[in-house]
Amino acid sequence: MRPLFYIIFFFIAGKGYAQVFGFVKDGNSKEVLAGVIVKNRNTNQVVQTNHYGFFSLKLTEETNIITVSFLGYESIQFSTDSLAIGSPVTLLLYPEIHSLKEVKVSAAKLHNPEEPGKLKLTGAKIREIPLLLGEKDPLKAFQLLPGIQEISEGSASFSVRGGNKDQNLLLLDEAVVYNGNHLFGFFSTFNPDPVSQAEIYKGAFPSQYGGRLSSVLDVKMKEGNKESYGIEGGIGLITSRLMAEGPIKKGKSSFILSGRRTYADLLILPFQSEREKTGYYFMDFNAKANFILNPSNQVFFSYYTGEDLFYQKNKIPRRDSYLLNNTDLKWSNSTFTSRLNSVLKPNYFLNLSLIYSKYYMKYTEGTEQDYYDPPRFNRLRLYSDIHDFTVKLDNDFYLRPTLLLKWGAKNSFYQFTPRDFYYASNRTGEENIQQNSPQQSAHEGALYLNFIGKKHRLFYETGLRLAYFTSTRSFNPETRGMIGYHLSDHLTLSGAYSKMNQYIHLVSNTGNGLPTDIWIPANKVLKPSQSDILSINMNYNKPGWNFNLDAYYKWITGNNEYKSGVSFLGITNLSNRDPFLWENILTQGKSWNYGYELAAEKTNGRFTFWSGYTLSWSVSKFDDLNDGKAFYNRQDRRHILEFTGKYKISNRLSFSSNFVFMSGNPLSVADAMFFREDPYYNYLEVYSGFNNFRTEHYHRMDVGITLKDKKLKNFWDFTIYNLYNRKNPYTYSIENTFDLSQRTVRPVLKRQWLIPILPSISYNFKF
Amino acid sequence: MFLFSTISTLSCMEVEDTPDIPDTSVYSLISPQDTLIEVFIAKVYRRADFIPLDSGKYIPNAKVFIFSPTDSVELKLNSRTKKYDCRNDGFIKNGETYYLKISFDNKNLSAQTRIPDKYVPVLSDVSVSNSLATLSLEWQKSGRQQGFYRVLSNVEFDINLRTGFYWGNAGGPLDTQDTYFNGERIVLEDGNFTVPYNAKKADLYFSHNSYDPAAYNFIRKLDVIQNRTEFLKHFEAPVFLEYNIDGGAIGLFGSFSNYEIHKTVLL
Repeated sequence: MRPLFYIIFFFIAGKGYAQVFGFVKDGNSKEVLAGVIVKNRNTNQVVQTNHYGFFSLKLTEETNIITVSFLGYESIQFSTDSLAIGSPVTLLLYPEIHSLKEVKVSAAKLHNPEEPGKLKLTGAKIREIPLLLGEKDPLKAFQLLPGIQEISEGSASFSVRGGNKDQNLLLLDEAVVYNGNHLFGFFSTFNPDPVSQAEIYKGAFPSQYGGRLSSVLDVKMKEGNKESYGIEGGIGLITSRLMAEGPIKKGKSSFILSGRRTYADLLILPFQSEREKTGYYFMDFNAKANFILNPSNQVFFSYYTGEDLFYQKNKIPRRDSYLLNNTDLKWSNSTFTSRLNSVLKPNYFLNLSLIYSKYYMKYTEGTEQDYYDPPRFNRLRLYSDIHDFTVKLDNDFYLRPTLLLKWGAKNSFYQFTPRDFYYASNRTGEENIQQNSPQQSAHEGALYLNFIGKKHRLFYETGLRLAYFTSTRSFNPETRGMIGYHLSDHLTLSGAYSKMNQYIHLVSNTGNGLPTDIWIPANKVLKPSQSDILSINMNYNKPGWNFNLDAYYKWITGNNEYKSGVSFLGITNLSNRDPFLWENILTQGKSWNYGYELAAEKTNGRFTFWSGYTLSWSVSKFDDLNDGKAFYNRQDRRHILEFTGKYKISNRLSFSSNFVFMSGNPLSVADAMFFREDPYYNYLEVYSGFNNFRTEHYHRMDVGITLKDKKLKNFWDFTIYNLYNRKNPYTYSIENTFDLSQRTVRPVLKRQWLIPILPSISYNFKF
Repeated sequence: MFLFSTISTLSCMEVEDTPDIPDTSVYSLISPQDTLIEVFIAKVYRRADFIPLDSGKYIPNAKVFIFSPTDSVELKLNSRTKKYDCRNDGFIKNGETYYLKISFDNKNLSAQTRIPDKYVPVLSDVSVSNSLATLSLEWQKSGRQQGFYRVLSNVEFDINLRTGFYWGNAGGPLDTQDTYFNGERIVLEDGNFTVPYNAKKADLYFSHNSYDPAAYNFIRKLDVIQNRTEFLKHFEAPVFLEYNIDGGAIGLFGSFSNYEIHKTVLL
């Protein structure tokens, strides 16, 4: 009844007291700071700035003393006598300055006890972690945290608490990124330079998020420095990066431009002949601009585009003619976000966003032989895309000093071309084949309401999200709730429940991150997926240290798997002229995921680290698979141990290291061979069950050294990935070994491994 | 602790151990139209076993019988094919159920199959022009009936060459599980071949098979296995064959009924 009361009296609430409200920003760059603690010392009331740096704090009748503090910045304290109450204020925090000889380290913590489902990494933290080929990567940094595991060796795709990779919502400045992979998954699409911060929710989902079952990764780009111009970048073995930022109008508007590209294709170009050209590149380009219209209104425009292209062209001479072969594989993401932030009242903040996102994948292959007249040709094209037009409204309304109401609405209009397949040939007669799945469109929308409150030691967040999807005419209420209690100044206990719906499915090879991701809408046969996530959290937090224990249970219905023997591309039988239907290759079932996650973190001193241990199970049951019996999922790894540490020897020199151990995961591997004739050695493979084989354990250690110049601006990064050259399993296959002297064949299971010890070096500059 | 215990209690999802794979396999497809009834019985080999390339996989000492509701036959080992066989002198009939019994080394295996009813499709239209062969087959039964049919087609042209024939496959096998088969009429309208310019006539051969469900599913999956390339195999879901042998063996005892249609078209 009480929430209803608040809604009815929405516009009259909040008038009963004076308030100080506005934004907290970095004093140098004037970028907004999220998560800053603003405290009224008279009342001991504490609020945090929201994602957009906004806060609103109640004042008492007399003079109030306000303190503002944020890790890594000098705290400030001021009296409200000095403020013009009634209009938005801008509070500036300046980074802590240390002498060159002083070594002081204090890093932001991953866990906030009052937000138990969320993990947060700042851009600076992401850039400290040694990773494959020295490339910094937010997705891979999160894979070193409990409950988040990489799908396969070196892959940026990840699984959260046993979920599939498509159950993770990847957001870049609020726009959905539909394919997070570059270079067959070895790098993510998130260029680290323009990243301001990244947060991941793996449980206790706030009701403003929805549309995926397992996690929300929310990456925010920097806004650009409003005071001075700057350029920074890096030259690495695989990629080079360049970023420029600065004011458009000093103090009022700014821009940031950032690019990254691989260049192996350009370097080998002079060494390739006309007859054969093979190459690959990926690139990213980020741009953002923001304009302060007046103290209450600010607009933002951010743009991202990235693409991968693999190409191969052969010109093979024949007698008096040529045989031409062309193969191209290209995939690309683009996003555009325009946003208005508006302070409508001292206690009312609004964000309105218009967002466009696109992902496409195109594979083309062709041969042409001009010996014949007319020339003979084969042409094959596979194309898939998704367009997403979204309008979103978010409102933060401070009903009381300790009660925040968040409410909003969102509508996404999707256009899908799931599969546009075309094959043409004149080699054996004119032939044109099209096996297209129909183009589709759908609306996905939601209304949400979320109360975030505190009372003494109790804190809570409770909300409702009403989600709908037009293709299936689904209208699903999603309840969200979290309640916690500070048992002492250091110890906190909390519990959370979230219900999530997912209306679009990913059809992809489950293994090694090929870019052949194809998004399809749910329909009457392939129904929307749903998850129920229950989690319990215990957190021990004291200055410089944090210990966190999570227990979770996630139940999923409408989980997708491939039917027996189908191709993820569905192109094995060209003679099949049926209209292509996804329900012919996918089947749906249930999944249970549960486990415990223990994390320890040290954030102060020369030596800082985080470490995690996960004990988990992931089980599925499908009527169409494994004779209807339950089986362990590919993501089922019983034990995962992770460690990431950094030792700051001096302000110029630091050493960092990662260690990961994951117990083996299940795969379907043939156990036996079945013959239908004799003598004959072509056998049929026999499986004792679905995911019947468990791989060997995975473990590796990476180390990195960062050496800065005397001005602490430019630095060298030396990284060694897989330090002790562990041959971790990537795939397994059965290979036949023939012994013709004994007249026998022996089918042997062979492990393929991918990445050996891999040193790298990069130079990073800033001026 | 209570809350953590609750999660632990909720989190009990039993996964059965994967069953052991039997050490014997059986493969037999019988048909009223075949002159021979054959059953192949062999060892099942594990990964890393040494498998003989030459003959040596079959089980030589089995007693094999096939029973009909009223009669039975014993199958004997054929030393050339390594299969147990006997002649089919009208023993296998449409619509009857047959039982396979195999015994050797204290092992008793059994399976059964029902021979599909005899369906005679009606050839309603056929034509060949340019590179296109068009064929219409109509079913005696109307409506989308439960059935497991497959139509294969071949076209042969007389082109007055010493080699005799030029042939083409008019499309892949057409199955009742293909979505545009409506249970009443099949139209094959396809041509993966070029009609030679000097051909005088075309002979069209259509083979219509009705399968029992176990055999139909098995053959569909064999198609997938045989069509996949070595490269794509790494990116496709594995093929899980389904078996219908009781008593400790894997394999298939299935049946089909065949109807051949031949039509000559003058060009």
